[in-house]
Amino acid sequence: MNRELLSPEGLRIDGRRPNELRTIRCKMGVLEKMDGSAYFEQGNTKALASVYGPREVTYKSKALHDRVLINCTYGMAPFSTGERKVQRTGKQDRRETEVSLVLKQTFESAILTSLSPNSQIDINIQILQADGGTRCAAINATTLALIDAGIPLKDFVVACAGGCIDGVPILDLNYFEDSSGSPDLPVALLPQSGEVLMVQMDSKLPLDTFENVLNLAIEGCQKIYVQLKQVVSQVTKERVQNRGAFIFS
Amino acid sequence: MSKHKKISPPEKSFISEGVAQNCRNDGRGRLDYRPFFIQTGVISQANGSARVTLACTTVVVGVKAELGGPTPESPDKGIVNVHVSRWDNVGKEDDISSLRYLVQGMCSRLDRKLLCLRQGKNCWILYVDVVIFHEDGNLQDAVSMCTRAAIFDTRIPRVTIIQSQESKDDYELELNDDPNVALTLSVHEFPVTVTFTKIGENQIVDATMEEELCMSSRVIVGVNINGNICHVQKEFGSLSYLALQQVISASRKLGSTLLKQMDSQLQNQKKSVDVVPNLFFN
Repeated sequence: MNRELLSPEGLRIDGRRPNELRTIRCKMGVLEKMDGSAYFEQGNTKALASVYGPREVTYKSKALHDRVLINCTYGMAPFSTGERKVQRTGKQDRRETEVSLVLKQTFESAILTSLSPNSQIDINIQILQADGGTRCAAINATTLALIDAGIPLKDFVVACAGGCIDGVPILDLNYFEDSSGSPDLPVALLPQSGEVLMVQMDSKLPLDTFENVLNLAIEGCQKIYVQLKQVVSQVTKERVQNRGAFIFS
Repeated sequence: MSKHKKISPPEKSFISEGVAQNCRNDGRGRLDYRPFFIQTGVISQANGSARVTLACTTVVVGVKAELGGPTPESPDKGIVNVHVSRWDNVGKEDDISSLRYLVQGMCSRLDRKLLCLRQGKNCWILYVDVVIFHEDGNLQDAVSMCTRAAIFDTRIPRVTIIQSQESKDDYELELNDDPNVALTLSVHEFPVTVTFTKIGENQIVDATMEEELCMSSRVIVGVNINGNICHVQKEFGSLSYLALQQVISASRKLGSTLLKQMDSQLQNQKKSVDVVPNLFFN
């Protein structure tokens, strides 16, 4: 069965090499009424993130006196998966609740929370199409949305997932590779300092293979960081020029 | 989020006086629509999908077909299941439930007998998922246009029923993935809605967010290409009988204009099939 996933020439089912990322496309500021929003595509996985805040806390009892409260909601559109996903309005299923919590904890370590005490930041992510690496796409989309909203961050938060087929570490799994038994190791980090904010894994791996897969995932994150930085600097340049200031580069 | 936006009394009176003089805030007349754009095939893994942008109001509808069993009341018909939500699941629930009633009413116009495979045993269940991305007034018409476009775009695989040779009750369903022989649903008779909003003593169509905050009553009329009234939904407020008659006769003309514009956009979509449209990259 694993022969299909990795051909004898070393190519995966979609023609990628083991350490190759899928094509990334992203756009910032896609929703006008939100403070910040971004759309992120990695292959066929599409995520839309919106940020609203810092704003007044909706439930006064939950306000934190010394830092900002971060609310994170992760959801998947009913048409995002191959089989239609049953959705009860307003309620999240267990996986969505778990991913929301993980995302909240990740961003609590990246946002400069002490700058807005007694306020709240609402982050909302919807997966419009799921093809593997959804939580990583969600994190990347959220980083862009937070930057679009002008919320102070320690650094970009970039995420990428690694896996392993037949002992060969692979980068950026799609749905087929993920569901065929390859371990899924999503990693999120702050690229400039190399600090890891999130690591998750749900299967068994021998220790040295685990290290190889982790290193590959971190390399993947750095590659994504380069692309995201380019998009942000382009958008910033346009916005600064629209205001009448010019950048001499 | 401006979901619970309030409007000041001076602004309200400015809007209603403008409406009375047939000159709204954006310069439109009372019966003028804002420009709208339809794109079909925006969700690749759905059987049919469409996105409609009516000025800033953005709605996406995805139609997925799954195999299932028919209801005991109508064993010879398929099922259409409608679900409406905002993309971030935040906001007022009442608008959502009235939109769901609207779309369900419109989808009852579809010939569900086409969705039946084996009487009483197998049928197609169409899941129509409406996702609202952006609200800028007149959700009802945007949602109805988008549903019509998504159903137009829907391709359901052809099914051949192979009877097993051993027993009469055993059978297999073979799906044909070829898009050329796929089942399509005709939207010729499918209605589109025209929403009339009453501000002061006058009726306007295609209200913006600010105009909706000044309204005293709303009537949603569903009209199809033959000029038949398919759906009438009146929401809050009161309306004189004469006003209601005027609204219904105006909706037939406006509805047919809308349908013509929609159909020409949908036909143009069909021609440019090489470029795969994307939700956010135009």
